[in-house]
Amino acid sequence: MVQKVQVKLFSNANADVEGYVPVLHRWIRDNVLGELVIDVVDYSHVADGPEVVLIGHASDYAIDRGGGKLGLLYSNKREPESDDAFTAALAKALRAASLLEREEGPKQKLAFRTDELVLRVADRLNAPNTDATLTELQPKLRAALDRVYGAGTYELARVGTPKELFGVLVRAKSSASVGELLARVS
Amino acid sequence: MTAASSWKRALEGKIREDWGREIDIYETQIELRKKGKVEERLFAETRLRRGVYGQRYDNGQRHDGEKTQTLSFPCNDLTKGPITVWDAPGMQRIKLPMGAMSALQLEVLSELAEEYSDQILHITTRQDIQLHFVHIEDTPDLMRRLAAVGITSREACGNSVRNVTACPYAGVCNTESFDVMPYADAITFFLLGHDDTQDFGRKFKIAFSGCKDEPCGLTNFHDAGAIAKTRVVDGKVQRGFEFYVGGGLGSVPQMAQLFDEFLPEEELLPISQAICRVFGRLGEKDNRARARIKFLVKKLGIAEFKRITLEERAKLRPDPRWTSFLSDLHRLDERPLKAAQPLGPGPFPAGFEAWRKSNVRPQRQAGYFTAAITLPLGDFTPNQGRTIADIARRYTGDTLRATVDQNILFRWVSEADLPLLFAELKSAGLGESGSDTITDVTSCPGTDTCKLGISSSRGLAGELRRHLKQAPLAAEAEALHIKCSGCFNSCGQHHVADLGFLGVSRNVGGRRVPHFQLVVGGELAGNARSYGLAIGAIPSKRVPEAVDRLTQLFVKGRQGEETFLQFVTRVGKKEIRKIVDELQNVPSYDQDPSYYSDWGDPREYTIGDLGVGECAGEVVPFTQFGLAASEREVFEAQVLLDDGKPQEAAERAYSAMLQAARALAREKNQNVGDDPAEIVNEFKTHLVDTKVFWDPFAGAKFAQYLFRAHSEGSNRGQSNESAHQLIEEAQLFVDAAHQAYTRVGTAVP
Repeated sequence: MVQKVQVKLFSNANADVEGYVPVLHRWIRDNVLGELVIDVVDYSHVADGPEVVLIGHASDYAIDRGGGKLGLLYSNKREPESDDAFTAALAKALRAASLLEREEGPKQKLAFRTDELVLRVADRLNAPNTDATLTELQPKLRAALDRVYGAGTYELARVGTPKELFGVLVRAKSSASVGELLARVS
Repeated sequence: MTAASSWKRALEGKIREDWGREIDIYETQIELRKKGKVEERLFAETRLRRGVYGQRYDNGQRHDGEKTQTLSFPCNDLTKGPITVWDAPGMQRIKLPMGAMSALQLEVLSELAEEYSDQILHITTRQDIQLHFVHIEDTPDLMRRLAAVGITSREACGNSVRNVTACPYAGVCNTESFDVMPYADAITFFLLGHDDTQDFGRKFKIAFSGCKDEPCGLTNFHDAGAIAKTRVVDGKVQRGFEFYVGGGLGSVPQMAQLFDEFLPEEELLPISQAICRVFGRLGEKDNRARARIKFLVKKLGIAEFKRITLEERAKLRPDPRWTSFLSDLHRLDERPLKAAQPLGPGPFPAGFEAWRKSNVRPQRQAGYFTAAITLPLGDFTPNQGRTIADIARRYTGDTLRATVDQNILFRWVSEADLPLLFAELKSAGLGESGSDTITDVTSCPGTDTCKLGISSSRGLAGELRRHLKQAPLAAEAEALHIKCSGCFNSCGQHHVADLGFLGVSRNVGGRRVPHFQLVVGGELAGNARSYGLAIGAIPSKRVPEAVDRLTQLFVKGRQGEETFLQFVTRVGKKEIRKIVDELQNVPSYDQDPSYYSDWGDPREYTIGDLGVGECAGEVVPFTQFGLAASEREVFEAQVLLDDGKPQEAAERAYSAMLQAARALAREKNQNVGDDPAEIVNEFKTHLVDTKVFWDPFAGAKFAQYLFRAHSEGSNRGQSNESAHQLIEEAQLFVDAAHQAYTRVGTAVP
């Protein structure tokens, strides 16, 4: 069973990250995500990591610049273990990305591309970053990605050093909109 | 996927047996608490003693800028302490004795931040690491993974001996008498879990410094402070410590008092043990606000405290650990990885010279240098943590220190390696210059995550960093230090900075406005030898402007090599106060609502359920007038103290408290006159007994300041020190009066 899945979607443009701070506060106030979210933390002073994080009980949503690439990092922290955890994580990340894209407030808006994404598992005990883990998780990963992209339309490769979280980089042959992908997993 | 089912099994045999057992017991306590078989207060102290803290909003309530909303955690009624919801995320504090950590330890800390926290590691002002937004049920495994690399979080919080801190340059410093590391290490593990440290009324903090004049050890504001010292007896060099006790910041700072001019090295541990026994036996237990050892030392007087301690020392059963560490004082010595080589001719990477100037210092050992990583607000990411560990392994032989400035220090860098090391840091986003300068602002967590925060100290610190980096600064200004605390508990150590900022709130037109008290007169040098005093509150959004004006005033008016403290003393606080006065105005909410939210947080700062009815509308002018007058009097008290008139200063501070108390009390009884006894009585009846003048955490602590000053009569302000304290207390009383004022319109029965 897999838990603690992370999804990083990349933005194809730079964005006014500061402008999203009030947006995320509003998401808490108006219960936009329909799940328990608690606070917004500003880490914009830190290079190469999360800039603004919407902290939740079961999930965190960060506008993140880790690896030098701006995007949305969804982290499942306490969702129940599931055979379909990758699909669930992709659905939540895509939904949040879709909502962020529609926000009118920020001057420079986030716009996500879907031809590339990263999936990670934040659980070194059960999923160290090894080829063996990839072999074991590949069927579940592919089941989720087939649903999102369609079978045979993407490639995946393990990324990162053994000290980093288990992660795969997914490269799709085409870049559908966030909304299209979301519709496939909703 | 591996077959390991738990970290406990995976780390079997890799954890010290006693540490493993403690964690197992803690995990059992968690299970028992979930079943309702452990009382919540007992469980709270259990988790605190393992470094598991509460965090803001863990009462299940959060104000969203318009109204207070309930956070519906799935745990229902289960709590992990009084009014502390089980599922609410909390903070894990991790002790790093003397700030020392290996590359492997840093890698594990990074992994934990990645798997259990919000992907950020935070260095505190006492050389700890904190992870935020951690779920309590993840903490046993987190502790096991730490224990497997030699780190325990035991007694990181609670009424215990906290992290022992030490100068991060110990062992490589040019001005130290000797390396304090083996002594600090010995005391850390001697007192950890010791029977004589389990019955304190409050925490106990110890700091070590290698020399007296530098700032690095900050021994003056610790419960116990040891400064390395040598003396020659019969031609032999003896090691010992100038030993201090009873220092502290918090709401009422106290300078540590000299316990012994020369405490021989073999007496360090037994005397510390005896002090702990005396503190445990005679220290206050019921009133937390007066339970730190500084109050006991003050109450007894240092001579009596020392007499009792020596008596206790004589009764101790000898313990071989007192001196066994002395037979191997080189156990912790570090060896450089590389031979020392001089810096090459260049060219150097862009930014290298500036970084070298501010972040690099020569070691005592020729050819070797320390290099500081400037961490903004003490934060870094797991990837950065791994990069730092990797660099430490390849350049320095695995030696890292967390500093009280919230940075990380490499030691034993060969000069020739500095450009490459810088380039690698820079590519990881860690090449910022300005360590130990005005832009390297120190801050406690404040309202970001702390339950006690009043204003956003981190938000302000971040803004000041940004602001001060926008244009080149004069060298005199660059050398200053700024420290920010979100409340009077002073975790940001604002009292000892050149420019200190203390978070408070003020009421403007029925709405709350975040402010910071400007604190000047502190000095870091000499192990924090001077504490500043607050001279006036500035709206948060105008603090950057205040810093500009103050630094310009200093640059323009500085004479010779004057320090900022000497400058302030010469020009007088009245001159500084003018700047505060000019910046005090807050536009109305309609004119500029930005003043009514804090830095980095767009929510309206005002508490939504604040009463703004007709009654409050009537009371505003009089109360505000009274509070403003009381603030003015606190400032006047400072000026009197600076003029060498402690008794008059104390009287003025007392008068300031009376003024504020009367302003509030008159709301319920307009006949309250000028008689101090009447004011105190009416204030007690209508504000204190009704818990309107009441801090949610400190209770009636601030009211007690007035009651005590009142009962002391003409004995107030017999010395500079007692007048200084009374002024501090008066300032806190007035700040508390502002808090109470927001409630006065609706809550006074």
